Amino acid sequence: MRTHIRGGQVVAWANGHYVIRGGDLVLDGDRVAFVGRGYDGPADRVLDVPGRLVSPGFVNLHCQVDISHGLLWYDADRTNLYAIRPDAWLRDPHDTPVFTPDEMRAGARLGLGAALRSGATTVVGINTMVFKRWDDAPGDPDLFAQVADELGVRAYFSHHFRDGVVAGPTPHIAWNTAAGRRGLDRAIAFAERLRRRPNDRVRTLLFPYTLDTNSEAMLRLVREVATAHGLRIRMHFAQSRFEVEQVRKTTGTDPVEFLERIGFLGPDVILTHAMYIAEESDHDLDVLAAHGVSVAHCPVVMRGSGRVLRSFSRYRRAGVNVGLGTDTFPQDMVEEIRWASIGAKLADRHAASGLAAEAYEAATVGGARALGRDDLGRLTPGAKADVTIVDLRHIMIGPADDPIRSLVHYATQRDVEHVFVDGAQVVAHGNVTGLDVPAVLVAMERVTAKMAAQFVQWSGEAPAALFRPSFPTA
Amino acid sequence: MRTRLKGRYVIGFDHGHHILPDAEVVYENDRIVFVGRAYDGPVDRTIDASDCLVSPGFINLHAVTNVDLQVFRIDVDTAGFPKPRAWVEGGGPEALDEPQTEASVRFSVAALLKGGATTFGAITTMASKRWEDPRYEPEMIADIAGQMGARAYVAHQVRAVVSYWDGAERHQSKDEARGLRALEYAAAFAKRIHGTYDDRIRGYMFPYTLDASTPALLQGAKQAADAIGTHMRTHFAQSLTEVHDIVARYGKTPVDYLESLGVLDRNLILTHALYIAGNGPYDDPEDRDLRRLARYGVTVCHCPGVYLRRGITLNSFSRYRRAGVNMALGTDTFPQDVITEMKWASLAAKFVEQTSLAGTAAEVYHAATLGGARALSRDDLGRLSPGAKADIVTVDLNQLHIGPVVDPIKTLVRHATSRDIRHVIIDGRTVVDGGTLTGVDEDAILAAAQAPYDRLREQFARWDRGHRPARVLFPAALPTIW
Repeated sequence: MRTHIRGGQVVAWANGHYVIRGGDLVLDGDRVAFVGRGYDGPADRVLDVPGRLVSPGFVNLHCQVDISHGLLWYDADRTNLYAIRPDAWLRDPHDTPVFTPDEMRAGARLGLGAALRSGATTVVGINTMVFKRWDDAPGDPDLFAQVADELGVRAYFSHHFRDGVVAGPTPHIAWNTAAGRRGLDRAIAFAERLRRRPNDRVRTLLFPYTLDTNSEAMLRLVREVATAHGLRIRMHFAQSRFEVEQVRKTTGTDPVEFLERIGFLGPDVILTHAMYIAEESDHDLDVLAAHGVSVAHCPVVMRGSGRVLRSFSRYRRAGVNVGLGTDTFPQDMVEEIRWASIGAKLADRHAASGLAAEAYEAATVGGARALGRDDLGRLTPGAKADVTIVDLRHIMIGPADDPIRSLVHYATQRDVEHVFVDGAQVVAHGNVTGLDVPAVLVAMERVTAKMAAQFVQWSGEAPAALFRPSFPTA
Repeated sequence: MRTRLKGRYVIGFDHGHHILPDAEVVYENDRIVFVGRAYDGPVDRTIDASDCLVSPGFINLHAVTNVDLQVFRIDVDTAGFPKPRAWVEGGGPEALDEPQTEASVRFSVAALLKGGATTFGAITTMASKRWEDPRYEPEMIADIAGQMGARAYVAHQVRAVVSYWDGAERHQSKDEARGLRALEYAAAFAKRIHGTYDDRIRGYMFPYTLDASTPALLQGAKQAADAIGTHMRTHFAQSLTEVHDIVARYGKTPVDYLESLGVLDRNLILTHALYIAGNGPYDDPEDRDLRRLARYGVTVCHCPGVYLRRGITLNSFSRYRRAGVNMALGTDTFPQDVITEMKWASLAAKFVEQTSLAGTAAEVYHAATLGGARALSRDDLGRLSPGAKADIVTVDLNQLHIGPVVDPIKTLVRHATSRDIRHVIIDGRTVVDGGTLTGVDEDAILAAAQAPYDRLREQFARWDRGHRPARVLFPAALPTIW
């Protein structure tokens, strides 16, 4: 199948992105066959796209694929959510799950569907561990892989594990070495199962969940396993002051220094958030850059509590590879790109920080580099045929000007018109193929109510005190 | 004609907003007659918005009604758009002629309506002008807004001081007599249009900025506004330079200065108000600035987006509110999307105050509805209650990216944009239906806006001191093959 995408503003690649006004892009099977002007070869399908941005598909490095609790906490004082879980619940010998597989599947359809609809062609999935004790249930990542197949999105899933959990009521870490090892074994088993699949659209990374809930012994073991199995690693890292304090308490060092000391860092490591590092000097950033570590920056989830990375542009200037992730519903990469830009301007108090090109690059090749993929995040012959087409012709986008700046500052996920993954069209005219949106929304309303009820039960607080509603409801 | 509008959530009003699930609004011609459940009177038609949030229409208090210029400055660390002395002091044609201005205005009003504004306070850029608006421009804004069904406040903008460059130097040309002559015309214009188009179009007085005004200009504008029964507005404390200028010129801080002129009252709107209250060159440990603005009932119009793109924000929206200042919202730049502006107001306040408890969805929603209405001294706007104007916006909640709804106001602020608006109803007339302007060719409006946009871009390049071409002055984000 050869698809000729004709006459758009094509973001081509030659050691960097550049824009061809009125360019052609040709997809052949799962690969890009031609990028340039004046293609006159054969095609099975011609798609005329004047006025559209023809972009490499976005890489969402941290996409929440189950049940997002972010909206519940907007305007609410979100203290440590893990600490409100009662000890009795944590010690349940049956490991009774909060959500059923059907509920998680509905969550995955919503999360992955929304990500795809916003132009992400590759998603690195995470699921919340607030509703889990030590690690995922054995079938969980497989369930997400099925939904990714259903929707045709390229995905990386992990069996999440850790050997510590944050317990309450005063937040502290409780340890369980056996549970941690069990989780890692299950993660390795998931990687084995993936090897038997007919295509490699779904892959895995090892995912020790957070820095503070993994012991030094666990992290050393993860590093060994990753190297032995050729698996990459990702981890939540320096995402809260609490976490950094825990690490200082147990290791006597700062997070970056600790990971360097135990030989954990490398070009196969993605650290998500990396907020509370490099506060006094650039030294931490220099270390991350020297080891080729990538940072997954998720500005939208942080902004709800007033937090911003200091700063996206500064990390990049220090040579750290930065990719973007959503981490919360609505898993909207367009909004994420915009807030990467604005967040950097705010953090640096500088109009010429957080450049549109920087944010766009993070959403494309930044993510691809983090995954060690030179066939993603770029449109060049031989790269994967993962394409996002954005219609910039709209009154709310305004007169035509620079297409990248229009995308970053004016477009919304609604302007994403078509999305291709592996050369197959998975979003057409803004609709995710094969997704029953009203059914997913109805299912998720129920799941969300159940989630809210679970928090109410755990906390013992009244819903109004916990969630702080906007206005009274009659 | 009596219309019933059914919604999934209706935001009703009774001494404050409240949420009515599965409710309806009934309006007769331009007025709301019922808000609640199970209306049992006769209706002529029913609009089904049962997938939607039904909200009072938004008040965009500082809305740009020309093709936007700030767009050119994104990512570029420059201060404004300097003009050469020869153009400022010479005669010569305006930057945009009448047909270009008309295309620019029509496009802007279309964007404002689609952006969710059922009422807007029109402003245009003075960066491309001399002492006052060309007379045709505010006329066109009033007529086009009136014809397109908008509710708008329109002013002929005036000033007594214009900045220009001459050689390497920046200068200000002051001509108070010229400013006062323009003011006289502005007052006559405001009076003439006030109450036209079924009273959807009203006038107001707009001495453009504090530092481009003189005491006589500000006092004259306020007197004219009072005589007409409308508000005065000015750009206020929008830059550090401006605050320094005021202190140097009058020996007073900006709020002291306005107080000494006797213009502080409930019919004054100060846009931006960034560099006061301890955020500028002087300390204000006792919060005197905010307490006085609150006491006089002055409105601050907060336009977060245009500043966020330059890395600057108000300190802070929630703090000003806590001090009792009436806060309203304006877009001031493209994309003129009131829902996005609410989101930005919310997030900026959280950022400044370093807590999720600041900038709540309820606070920013209040600013976009009741705050704006209060600024305009209108108790018939910004709320859905019997007797209020039938100015309504519906937002489609049944969409993938909207997700499950827990609190519809938080969902609106956190997940929606104006692109999710299904209906915009003004004075009982549906001007946006199914997300599209009724009776208007949107594609043609957008296409016609390209020429004035390109013209302004080229004009600023021609005025550039370094004679840099537009592509150098406003560089492309990525290398581009044209």
